[in-house]
Amino acid sequence: MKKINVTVALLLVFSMFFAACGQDGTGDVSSEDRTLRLSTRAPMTTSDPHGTINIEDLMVMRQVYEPLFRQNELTGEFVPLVATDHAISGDGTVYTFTIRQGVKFHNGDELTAEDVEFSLQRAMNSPRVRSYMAGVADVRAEGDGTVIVTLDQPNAALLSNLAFVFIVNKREVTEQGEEFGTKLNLAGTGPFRFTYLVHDIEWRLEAFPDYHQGEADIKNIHYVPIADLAAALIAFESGSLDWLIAPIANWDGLVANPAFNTELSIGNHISYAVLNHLNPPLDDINVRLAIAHAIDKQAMNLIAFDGLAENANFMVHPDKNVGAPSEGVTYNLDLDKAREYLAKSAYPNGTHVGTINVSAGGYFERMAQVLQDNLMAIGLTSDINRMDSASNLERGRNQQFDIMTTGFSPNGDFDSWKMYCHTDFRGTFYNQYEGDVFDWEHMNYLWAKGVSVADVAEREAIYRELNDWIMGTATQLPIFHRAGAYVWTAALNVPVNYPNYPIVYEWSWK
Amino acid sequence: MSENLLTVKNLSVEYRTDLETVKAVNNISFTLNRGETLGLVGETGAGKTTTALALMRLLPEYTGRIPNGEIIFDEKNLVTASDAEMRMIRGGRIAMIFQDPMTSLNPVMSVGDQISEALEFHNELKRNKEEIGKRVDEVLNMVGIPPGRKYDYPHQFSGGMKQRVVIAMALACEPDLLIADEPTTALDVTIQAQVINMIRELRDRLGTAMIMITHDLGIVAQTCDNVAVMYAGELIEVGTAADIYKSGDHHPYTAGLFGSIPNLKTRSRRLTPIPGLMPDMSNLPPGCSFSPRCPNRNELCETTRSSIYRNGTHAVNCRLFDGRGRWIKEEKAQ
Amino acid sequence: MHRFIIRRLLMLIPIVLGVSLLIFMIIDMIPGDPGSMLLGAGARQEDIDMLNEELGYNQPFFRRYANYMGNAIFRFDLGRSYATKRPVLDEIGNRLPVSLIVASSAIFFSLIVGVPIGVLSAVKQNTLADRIPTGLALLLSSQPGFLIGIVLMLIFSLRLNLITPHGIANWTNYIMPMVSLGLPNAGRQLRFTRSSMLETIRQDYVRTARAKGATERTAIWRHAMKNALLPVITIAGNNFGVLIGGAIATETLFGLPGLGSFIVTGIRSKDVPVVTGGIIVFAIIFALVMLAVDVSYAFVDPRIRAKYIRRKGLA
Repeated sequence: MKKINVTVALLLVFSMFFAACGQDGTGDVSSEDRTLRLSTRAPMTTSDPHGTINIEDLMVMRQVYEPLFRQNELTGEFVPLVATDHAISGDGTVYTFTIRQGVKFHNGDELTAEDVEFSLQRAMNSPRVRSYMAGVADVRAEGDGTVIVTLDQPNAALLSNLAFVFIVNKREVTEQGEEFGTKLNLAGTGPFRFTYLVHDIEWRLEAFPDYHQGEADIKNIHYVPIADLAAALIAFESGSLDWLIAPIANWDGLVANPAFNTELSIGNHISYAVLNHLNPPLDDINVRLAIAHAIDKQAMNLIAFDGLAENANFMVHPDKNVGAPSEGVTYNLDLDKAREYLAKSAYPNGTHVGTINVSAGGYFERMAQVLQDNLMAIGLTSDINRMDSASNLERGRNQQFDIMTTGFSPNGDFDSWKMYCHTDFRGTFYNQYEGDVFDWEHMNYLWAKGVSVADVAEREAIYRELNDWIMGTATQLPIFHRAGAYVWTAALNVPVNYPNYPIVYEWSWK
Repeated sequence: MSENLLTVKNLSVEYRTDLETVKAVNNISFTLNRGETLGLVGETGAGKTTTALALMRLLPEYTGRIPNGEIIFDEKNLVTASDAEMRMIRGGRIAMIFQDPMTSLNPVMSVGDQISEALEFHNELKRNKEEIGKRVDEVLNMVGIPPGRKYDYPHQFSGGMKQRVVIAMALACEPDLLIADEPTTALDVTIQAQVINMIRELRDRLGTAMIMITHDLGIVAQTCDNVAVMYAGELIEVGTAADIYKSGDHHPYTAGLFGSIPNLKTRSRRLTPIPGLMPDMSNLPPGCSFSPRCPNRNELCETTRSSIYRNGTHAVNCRLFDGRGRWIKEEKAQ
Repeated sequence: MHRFIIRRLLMLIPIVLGVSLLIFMIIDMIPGDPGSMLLGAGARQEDIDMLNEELGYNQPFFRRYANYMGNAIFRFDLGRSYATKRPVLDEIGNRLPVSLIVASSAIFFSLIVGVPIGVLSAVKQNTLADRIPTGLALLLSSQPGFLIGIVLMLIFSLRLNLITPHGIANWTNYIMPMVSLGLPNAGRQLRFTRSSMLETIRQDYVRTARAKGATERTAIWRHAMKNALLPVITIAGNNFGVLIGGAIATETLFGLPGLGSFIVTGIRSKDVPVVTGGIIVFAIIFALVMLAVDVSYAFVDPRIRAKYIRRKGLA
């Protein structure tokens, strides 16, 4: 008994001790210098902007490094950063970029065209980001202020791609050599620079005073990795974080809380179902069309995403991607039509369609369950197979599946859907159109044509044909565009939340 | 100091569990004088060990109970003594050695430490460490173990030597009474002889009274002044060694015990055991406990308890002896 | 004793070789290649091939293995992570202390809480002082670690705002992981100590102690405990070894950069140097911990000591 008393006493003492210790960044710091605390879902893998395509890394990188132009995720317009202007030759194969003068790197060096040439060439040779430089034959600096990029063939999507290629300081990168990316560097031009970087634990940024658009309002940013969503939410609610992409589970509670601001914005992302036309009974177009008309997007939205998503008609969101058509072949819930198609198929009385593969954890699972239900409604049975994401996607890429529920994010241009369709992207796409079932050469031709012209209206017309063609195969079925749920402390002023990459430069303290 | 050291009067011990109550010892009485050795004989399960544990008040805490009786040890009733008083007595004035030397010693303590522990518990003489050490050496010498071995651990000794250590531990504080519960049963015969001899020698030298619990009549003959035969929790025959070994009147059980000893000299094909088994102690028969197995029983034996026939120092608890010391073969119901 | 220790240390070599070979083989069998894992779903085949080439993935199995092990043994170079390009040994050097602190504090906690209460419940068997702790122990040891972790987080970070729930900035960050890992372990330790104690209390030498006049307390603490705790040491050592690499859920929950999550992340992206290097280090540490346990056993139990130390004049 004595032991229990002692323990209780100790606990009390300890709690008083802790209560005395305050918490980071609250109260007595002036609002100007207040540190912004953010989290990412994984530790930074590298500090080399050409060394990663991880969205978690890029969310940080975008505060530190800049491309020639950034593409506004909501409006699609191009914001000049390192470049001020561009010109395209008549045949669309030569791009001339005017480089902004007076841009400083974080280490103090002045940016020249040579740095741009170096960065773009480096990107071409870097396996992770070279796909953004696809079709580029040559990059050359001319004088101090111009860079000329020459393509093999016209590619209307080049600017959107280049928005993902960051410009780095040639001197520092060359100096650091192999080590570049493994430690802190000051080779960027963005509004924030690194002051502290221990990859697994914490990284800190400070506002770069010589930023070419003027110093940022937020002076300090601290990032920590918090892998678990629940833990991140607890951290936010207890005041350790200032802004968070929240799980939608407790959305109403968060909205109601006056200490928090919330915003729900539909992202540039598509959640969809994939049907493998190589596996019977899915090889029957009528079965696929039946399935297409059996999918209840409303129910999917409600159950998988709490009703907060936006039902999708197209794989590529028409408002958020250049060239994306807003009209064309779509499928919506129509059980009568579904049964009609099924009656025309080889299985008028229903059959077992196979297994729905899905990556475990997250809303894709719930989508799979609704899908299973929808199929049941027209007499089609199915199983669900959950597995870890890496294995699931691997099977997808090898067409070892019947049905999948999954998603992807286009990058702002319709052309980015190409990787899931074009036969050249072996090892990437889930649907292998090559073979004698579809006129895949026509599809490939349309993809090439789509980037060969610059005029947006023309491109849209081409892409409308392309969209109809792909939708005609009934192998990729769009379901909804998910919403990003953003929550931040009321003391923080966030004018707009972009779907993928926050721009902290635009934020300020109240 | 009176001659009389221990008087046990009407002692009963029972083990009480939720399922049943086992009456392990029923109304036994005996006395022991200083320096005397009493042999407590009986087969397994008779209640000998229970009696010994009761004397030391070492019965299991929740299940063992002494519902009635007195244990007067040097004018103190141990049944009602406090825990603190008992602790003083255990090891200091009454010591006990147990049957299996292999497990009686703590394997992770040196034997020297275990012996000095006994001395530390009963340090009325206020010995300091050095003196205790010396005493340990003395005691080891006494049992024939070189004192240099006091740093060794039990597993480094053979069975016989372990038992000698146990004896050393018991006698270290020079107790008045030593209870030896089948001390040689676990040892082989030649070692047995050694240990018995040593016990005898020490007892004579120190003048310790002893209760020797055994089922081996040979040991009883060698060591004991008095003998008490126990069966099913009762003392069915008590007397001096001479009474038991030479007299012609015996309880049928005792007779059976002697009869079942194999004889080295004469050739025999078969052993003559006592037929049957000891009764279930939670369910004792109303009459004589031995009656189911007794070749001399009659109907009265089975239904009523017998009285005690006394002849000087010899007492037998059997109704087949009337007051005249003759064997009555038949008895009409009165 | 020295010979014994040296022999065990030498055994580390076949252990390391065996473990690493096994890991290499298993990882090879997992479908996928680092290129695809790292570049993700959108990559072109040529990019994937280029990355694989760069990482040396396309070389034959045994050449890769020999290269890797050669570097590991002779130059202590465990390679660079495919994902981050940082040297694996450095990464492990950063993460190992965290895992060690978490594991040892958890074991410490579980011993401090579990053992005394286990002893108490054995001594007071079948009374309330036994039933309550045993029941609680059962409850605690059947919880998943992260459940306790989240509950603690909710109480101490959210309601009471006392501790930051993630990272390792402050020593207070280690408290909740210690408790959330330690409580289930304490439950197991309690039950184990209890049963070991129950067995020991019934031993004859405890009765002998009582017969010598020991107080109940002395009989239990001095005689029973010492013997009862011997197996407890082994279990604790075992658990400690396991916790160093196995506290992944806790590491993820509390944002602790530990060895376990390092290895698991590596497995997900088929990051061969990370996984191999991490597991080799883990195997070595585990073997050392076991060695320490065995050696400590020899110090505590003279019967074991006799096996390893030759002494003169053994009877």
